[in-house]
Amino acid sequence: MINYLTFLPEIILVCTAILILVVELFQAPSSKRSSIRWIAFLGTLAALLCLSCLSGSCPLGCNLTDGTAQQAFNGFIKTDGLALYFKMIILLATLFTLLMTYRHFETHKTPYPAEFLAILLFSAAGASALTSAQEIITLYIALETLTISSYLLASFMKKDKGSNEAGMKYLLLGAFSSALLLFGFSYIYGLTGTTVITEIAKSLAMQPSSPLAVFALILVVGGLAFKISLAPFHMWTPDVYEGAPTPVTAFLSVASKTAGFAAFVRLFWVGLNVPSLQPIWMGLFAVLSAMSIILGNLEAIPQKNIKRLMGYSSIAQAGYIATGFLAIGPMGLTALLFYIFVYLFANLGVFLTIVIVANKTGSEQIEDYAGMWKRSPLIGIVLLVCLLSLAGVPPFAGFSGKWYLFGAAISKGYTWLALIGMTFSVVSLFYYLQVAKQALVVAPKDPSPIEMSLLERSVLILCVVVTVTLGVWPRPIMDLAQAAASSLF
Amino acid sequence: MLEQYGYVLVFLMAGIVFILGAFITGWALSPNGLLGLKYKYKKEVLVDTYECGVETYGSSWFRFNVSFYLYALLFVIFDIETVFLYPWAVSFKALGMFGFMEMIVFILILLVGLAYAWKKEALKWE
Amino acid sequence: MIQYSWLIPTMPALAYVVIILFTRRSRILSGLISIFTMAICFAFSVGILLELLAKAPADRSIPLSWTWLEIPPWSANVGVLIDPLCVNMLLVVTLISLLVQIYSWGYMHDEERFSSYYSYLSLFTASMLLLVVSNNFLQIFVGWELVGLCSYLLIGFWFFKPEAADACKKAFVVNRVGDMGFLMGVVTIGMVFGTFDFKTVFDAVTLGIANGTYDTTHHYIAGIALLLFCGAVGKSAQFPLHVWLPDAMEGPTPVSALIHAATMVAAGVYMVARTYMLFSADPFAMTVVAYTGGFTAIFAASIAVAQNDIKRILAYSTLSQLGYMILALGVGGFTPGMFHLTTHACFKALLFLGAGSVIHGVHNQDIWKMGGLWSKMKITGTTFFIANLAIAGIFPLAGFWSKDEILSAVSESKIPGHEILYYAAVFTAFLTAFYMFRLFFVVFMGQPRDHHAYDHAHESPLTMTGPLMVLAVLSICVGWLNLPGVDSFSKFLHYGEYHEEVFHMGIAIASSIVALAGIGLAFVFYISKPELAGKTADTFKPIYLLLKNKYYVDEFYGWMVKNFLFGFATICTWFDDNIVDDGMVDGTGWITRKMGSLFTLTQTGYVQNYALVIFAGVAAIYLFVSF
Repeated sequence: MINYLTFLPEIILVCTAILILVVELFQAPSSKRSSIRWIAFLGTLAALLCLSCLSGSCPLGCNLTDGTAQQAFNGFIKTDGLALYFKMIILLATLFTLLMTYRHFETHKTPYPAEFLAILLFSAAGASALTSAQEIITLYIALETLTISSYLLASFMKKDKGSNEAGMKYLLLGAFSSALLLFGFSYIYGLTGTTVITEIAKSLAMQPSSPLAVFALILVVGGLAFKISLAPFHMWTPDVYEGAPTPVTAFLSVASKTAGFAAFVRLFWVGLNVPSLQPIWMGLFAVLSAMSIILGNLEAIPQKNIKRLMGYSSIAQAGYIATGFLAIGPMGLTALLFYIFVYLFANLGVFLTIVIVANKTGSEQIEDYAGMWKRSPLIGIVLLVCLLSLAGVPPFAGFSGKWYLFGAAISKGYTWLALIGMTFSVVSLFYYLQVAKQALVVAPKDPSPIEMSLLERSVLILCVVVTVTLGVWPRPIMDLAQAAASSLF
Repeated sequence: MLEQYGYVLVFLMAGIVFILGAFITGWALSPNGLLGLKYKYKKEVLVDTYECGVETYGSSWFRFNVSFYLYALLFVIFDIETVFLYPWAVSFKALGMFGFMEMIVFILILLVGLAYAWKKEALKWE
Repeated sequence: MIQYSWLIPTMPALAYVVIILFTRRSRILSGLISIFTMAICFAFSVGILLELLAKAPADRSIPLSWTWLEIPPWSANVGVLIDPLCVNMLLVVTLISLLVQIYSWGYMHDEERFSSYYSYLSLFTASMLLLVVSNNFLQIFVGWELVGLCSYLLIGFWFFKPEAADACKKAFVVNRVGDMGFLMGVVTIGMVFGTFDFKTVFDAVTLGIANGTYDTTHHYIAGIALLLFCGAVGKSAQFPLHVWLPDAMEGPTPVSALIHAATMVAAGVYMVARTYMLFSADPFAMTVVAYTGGFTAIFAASIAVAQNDIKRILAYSTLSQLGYMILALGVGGFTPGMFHLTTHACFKALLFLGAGSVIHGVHNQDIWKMGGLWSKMKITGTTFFIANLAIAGIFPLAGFWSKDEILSAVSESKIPGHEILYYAAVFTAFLTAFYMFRLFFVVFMGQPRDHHAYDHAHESPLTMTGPLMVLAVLSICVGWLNLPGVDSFSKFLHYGEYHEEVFHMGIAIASSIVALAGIGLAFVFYISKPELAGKTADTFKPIYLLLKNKYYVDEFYGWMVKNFLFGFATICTWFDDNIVDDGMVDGTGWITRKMGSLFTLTQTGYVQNYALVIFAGVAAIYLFVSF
């Protein structure tokens, strides 16, 4: 028998997606299609709730396991605490994306809303499955499920040139990087004769260092760094982020990246964490992370389009998170997990406002954010709090997140990298505050207020509350992250 | 470990030999080739696609109806289904009830896909 | 209940958030939320007191701690330290705050920014309580700065008045001077002990003194203690940083009662008591503390004699009484100091609220425009009289007991020159009785001087007189907590081993006589022979002017700032404008921006270029790793 509990969240997501497609078939073309929205929303919520049941700490008491990691397919898939944490991030991001989707398609009409939702859920299922993968082929297939769906999502607005360009660029470069990744995997298999990550580590530990192993390592880094947009594999990010529909951009910037981080952690901290290779990839990550921080922050400064700005910002953020890769151990992993959580709320808060504002003004230019404070005080607060959190200003959550990340890096002797990180956090204030300044200081050109639904309002307030609370009291999520990290160490 | 890459090398050699062999054989057998009869042909005849049959017309670089692709994609999916069905049928008894249910689920998912394609009029030829 | 004591500062903070975010538009709701939260906090504090009393005296110190930020091996904690000292302060702060908030309902009734006012009060109380419950130096510093901020906001509440705007700036800047020392002290503690936790630091000091690691002859600990004391000097307005407190009276009067008389200014005293371990480790530190307190006491009392603004008189009186407390702590009288803090909180809050009631009635603050108000404001007058008796130290009111204990402590102390301090304290008691009754006689007795104001005068509504009556009862009774022989307060709150308080009949009689003499003199000057006061002032004109102008301390500071600081500042400004700003800051900004534009040129938009970069990246990494 197969232990279905291992991939219960994915089953729920896929079933929801299929259900959406079927339900839409039987709807009149003129109907408002609110039912499929609710199905998508509830399905994702159910998947999220099932995570807590799987972790053995369901508040409703329906614990499916006693908290032990579930395995299936001879351990090819294992849903441990770490996987559950990553899944939580991905599913939360999916929920946010769904919310944005509803608002986005009000003005950007598409004849295929059901298909969009279904593909989004397939994508989320891929990302979610990736976090449990303990074997490189499973990992690759999950990754492709995620990215191929993302290509479709990015180019979803068929009549829109930007969206088409984004999708095409993403497809071509994504295929290129997938090829690199697969090429690297093939070498790893060739060297070790196994695809199971823990076995790879054992086999590699017994071999002397070989140039082929190094080559494989570099290919894998190249392939995966593309997914989380680490420099110099970041070039696609701004173009795709700008062109893709905003909810998709938000999804790419959080869910897709989180899956990439999960793959990184599994592959490098377990599979390639052998004495002959470890110093090489540590050095590599230090350089890549420094490059991402520097390039991402510097190139963000002259931007005029907020989505493009967020694209560069996400490159820099990936660089910050990558510093956490260097601190192998529970402390580094905890810091990394915590930061991803913080990043989720801050980033998605900003993207939600982008969608709401674009819905009203039809613009994504930063100058059109003038006087947002007057038009909707909540949007002003969200922009200020979330952007400052991304910049790492106390007392917001981004500060404590960076505190832990850089602290972990320093404890492993990467003080220079932490210094670069801190210096460029200051640089990042330059462009984050540019947006905040437009929103809070400059007088509005058009003072008409911006309306939003109760749900959006409460989600935005949630973003602010989480960002502020975790800044002064990071304990709850730190404890969660620590528990998740303990499943690897 | 590395010895196993020897097989790759053999494959590579075989591939190269195969392609080169095809080229050489084709050239050898062609009218003007190694074994050819060395007739003199008119230029027009030489560049013809076919030596006999109906005259070709138009360019080969024209757009196909997108329905061809849709048909092809659907065909591939159900082709794969058949590929899965054969080994399952062979070991049906060994897999038992569990295998049966698994296959039912698999077919159902594809069936939903077919229903979707049908309803979306992907099967309608226009 | 003690497990949930962290709720005490949290609840008013939440009230602040709720008022600011949601109920700002509704005056009534905002006020009620604030008052109701404070009532719960007070009840909570009483509960904690009862729970603490049920425990054996040895178990009455309960620390609760949570890790806040952690980078092993270093960690910063947040926590609560519940012990008698903390509970005493909790009760004082929550009770006074509750009464002041109720009083404000009437006093601020016509205020447009009523909700903002209550939100600030909530924030202030939350910060003050955070300071009081904290178990480490970092947290106490956070609370310390937050109360400073709230004080700034509330002094400048009527920011459209230039005096108020100036006063809040002055308070902030002067406090900053003290806070600088405090911050240095906190950082030094962190560096020396590697932790900010009170208990750990104190245990380390005790151990260090016991085994001789810390040599007291080098005044190592005293250095830290005195840095911390700088903060206390600023916040408790001791000489020479006292100048901000009288100006702070520009704020609404209930605020003066709460912040600038009963609670926040006592934070300095509380902090010294909290870190008493560090002070008592070195006699030198204690001597500095005692002399600062003693000098401030007599210095401020003498100024109060010649002031004419009702709130300013009370402000100088506060300075003088805070000096008393600091003096008590300095001579080793831990319990007397805290006891006086408690009794003083009651009668000083009463005096300020009473003054507020008078101002509310006559719309004026100059005592020479009042007079004969007794007949118009019976409740205010009576309660004010009780408070006067209490502060003058008349038997058997609150001030008598606490002042007496301080005098005993001073006379028994072993620091050099304690006799001088003793006589200074006794003379201060005389001056206190004199200027307080001068105020009382001028305002409430005699003939009305300004008939327009007098005709308008009326008794205040019940929301205002209610708290006055409660405080009047407290001003009478609080002293009985520590009756000689019973010593319930001393048994509850003491430093080190408990010693029975010795009641010196001689001192008690002496201080009573002095107080009565002060009252008598005031009676002669302002009731029976009013012309005598003017004559005396003329006879001793230079002294009178000196006192009236507060010893020209403000002028001296102004002169210093103008002649030295401004010159230095001009040089700095030039350097800052031309070299730092134009050259370094703008230059860095320019370079950063240019580099950003330069790097964006790599973003060509051609997908083949991007692919090339990926390929080149892999190739470069391979070369980088291989060679």
